[in-house]
Amino acid sequence: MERKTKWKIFMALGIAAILSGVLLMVIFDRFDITGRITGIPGIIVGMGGGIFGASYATYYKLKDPLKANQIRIEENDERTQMINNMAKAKGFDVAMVAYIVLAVVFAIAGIDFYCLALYLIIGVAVVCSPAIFMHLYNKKL
Amino acid sequence: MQNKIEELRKERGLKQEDLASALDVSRQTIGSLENGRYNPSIILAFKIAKYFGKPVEEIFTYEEDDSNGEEN
Repeated sequence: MERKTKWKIFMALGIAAILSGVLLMVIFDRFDITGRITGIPGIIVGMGGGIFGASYATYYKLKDPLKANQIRIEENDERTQMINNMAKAKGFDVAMVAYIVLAVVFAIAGIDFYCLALYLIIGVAVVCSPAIFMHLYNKKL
Repeated sequence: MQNKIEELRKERGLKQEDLASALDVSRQTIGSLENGRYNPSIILAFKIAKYFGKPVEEIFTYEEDDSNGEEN
């Protein structure tokens, strides 16, 4: 698929998300739906806006052949890729510390047991994921 | 690892940008290679050698006490 087409699809998805969010807002308002569910359209609109904005920025850069070539080089540059991977690894370490601190804060604050349990289960899955990927890459490489 | 990239580039009157463009890498990568902060992959090392028309071992010199050039 041409790279510009990919970003056009993402832009369309972003717009579709915004429109569905707005549509949900109208439906909730028209049928007097209340409760926590009314927050969902806002999240959808926000996500749609984010997807559209990021896609449009990349699409705009790709329109200029010089910038497009620069992006292609940056994306394929092995040093850039190594830096990205190292930054991701460090980011993961930082996220783990933040995760543990937040777990303690949540426990002390006495949040709902099921919310804390869900948070811990997701955390364990995230902590275990590098081991799973290491196993897969060990087999693959 | 030592390399002669800067020397060879200057011999040919090339700018870092020109070499980067010819090798399809960023200018920063050429800069890092030249000052020894970054060691290239074997593929890039061969591309560099091919570009300068020299064997890899003539451009890159491995010394026993070298680190990998990557710090965590």
